[in-house]
Amino acid sequence: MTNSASNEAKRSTAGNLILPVAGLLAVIGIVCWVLQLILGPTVLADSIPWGVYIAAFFLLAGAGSGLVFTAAAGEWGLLPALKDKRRSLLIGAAASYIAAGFMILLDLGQPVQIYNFFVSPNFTSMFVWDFLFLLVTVVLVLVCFFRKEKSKWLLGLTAVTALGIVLIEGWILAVNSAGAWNSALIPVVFLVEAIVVAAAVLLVAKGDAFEPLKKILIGLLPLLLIFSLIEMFAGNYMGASEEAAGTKLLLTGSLAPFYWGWVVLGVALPFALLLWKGKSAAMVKVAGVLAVCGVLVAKINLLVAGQALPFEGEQIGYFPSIVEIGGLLGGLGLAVFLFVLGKKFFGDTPAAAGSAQTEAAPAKAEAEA
Amino acid sequence: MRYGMVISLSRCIGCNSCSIACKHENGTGPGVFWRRVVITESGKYPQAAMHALPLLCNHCEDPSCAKVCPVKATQLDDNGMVTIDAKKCIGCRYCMTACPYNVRAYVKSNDKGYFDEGLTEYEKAVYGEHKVGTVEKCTFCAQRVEEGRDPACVATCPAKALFFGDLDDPASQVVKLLKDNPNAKTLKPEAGTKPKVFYI
Repeated sequence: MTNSASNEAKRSTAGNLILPVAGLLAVIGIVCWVLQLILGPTVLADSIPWGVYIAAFFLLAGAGSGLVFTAAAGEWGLLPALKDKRRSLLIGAAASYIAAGFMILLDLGQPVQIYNFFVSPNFTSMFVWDFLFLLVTVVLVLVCFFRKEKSKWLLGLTAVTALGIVLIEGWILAVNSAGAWNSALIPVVFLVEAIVVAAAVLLVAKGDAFEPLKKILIGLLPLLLIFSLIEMFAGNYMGASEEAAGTKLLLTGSLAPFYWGWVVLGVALPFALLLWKGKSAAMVKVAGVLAVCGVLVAKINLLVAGQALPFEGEQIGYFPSIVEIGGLLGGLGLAVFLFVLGKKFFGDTPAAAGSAQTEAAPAKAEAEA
Repeated sequence: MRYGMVISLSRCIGCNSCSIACKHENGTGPGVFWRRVVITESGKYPQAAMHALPLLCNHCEDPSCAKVCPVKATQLDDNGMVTIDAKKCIGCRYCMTACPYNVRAYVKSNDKGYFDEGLTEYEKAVYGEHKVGTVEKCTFCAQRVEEGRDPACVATCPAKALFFGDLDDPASQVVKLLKDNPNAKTLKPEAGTKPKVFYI
């Protein structure tokens, strides 16, 4: 057997394992949810209101939006290498949004009362707008996917609503008066993180096949670090107590291992791996995994820093409970499971690609016109 | 009508009687405090001092909790009280993150009591009224106020540091106290929530 044949066989074995492993993780997540429903929220960490579930929700919703952006960028000719991957990208986006919805279900204390979102919505709440934009975007993603005639305008509109999700989720924190959250930069950070996660996920899926995505990651990863430094500088320059306390928490306090872990493993290492001239496809995948994990940790850091310094109280620590970790793995597993399953049934199969090519002709003519 | 409270910090002795009275009146379980007293220290010996700061829902004029609640479970009532409808609350805890005063509590269980022997008869009787997975907070003891009585904390305070009444009634004690103490403060005024709990 030649080396390439052997590598192909290994890849095939690994590919076959993804679905059952992701399915198992999804089942673990569902079991954790059932445990919560039976035992109540006592099984969750007893400290801050928003923890790892909300961080994972932001991560997955951001990933969904990032994948819609890349699909639209491929369709509009900004990332030509992705033009043929439209269907896979849309499946990935839908899978991410559904998994994000699962994370919210896990987080709610009274999920059975969620019907109040429909019968008694409060339009001054960012949550309601987030819910509406998520709903509209998922519907648009499905329409774009199943519509026989491709429309780059419809995909463009989907990208706009997907952008709305990311910005609104940034505003959920940014409009809050908590020191670490009260910043207009957060929606921008969320947008950059969404693109980073989407690019990283695609690199994990395809190795070094997409050169422009590597460049995107190389450009955006340091930007996230710069944003973090800007926030710290602006918050501490005038010695504002809440901001200073938040910074201390991140740099030398209880969040320091996670903050520095993010800097080294979530930004510096993937950045160096992607820049390394002698890198292999495996290294690119490792860089992608590290970047995704880094964004998750950055979101947890941001969430905890905004809640760990309550008004007139002692600093609170946070570490997710076993059930929360199970739920997190379940959400991530569910996204991968739905994506692989969706791709198996509806993905860029030769037939679909062929049909996409025939569909591309009228779209091209439309574009030229 | 706008119910409000005035707290005299010079009278408060930090005994936490108000916290206990609140738990007794409202039957809140372990880990759930609708009000508490924060004790802080300042200065150095021989000029050291202890300060007591009673904290409870500020029943704000412009409550950020009501603004962010996605299902209108938190509302500002006509009488100025901020209330939570447990039948609507989905337990998202957005209100807890939005409250600048950290005075909301999440009900994680209603079948765990304070004692190893299991629930007492009192605990059995009262914990069932607290819906698991929802958020709670001070109600100004609406059930007592409806009967013309003061909230439990006000009635219990041994130092008479707490005063409750209608901020729209010029004859009420709270209005008189605020007139006599023009330097009365609210917590975190920069949050823009316009609290109706004043500290003198």
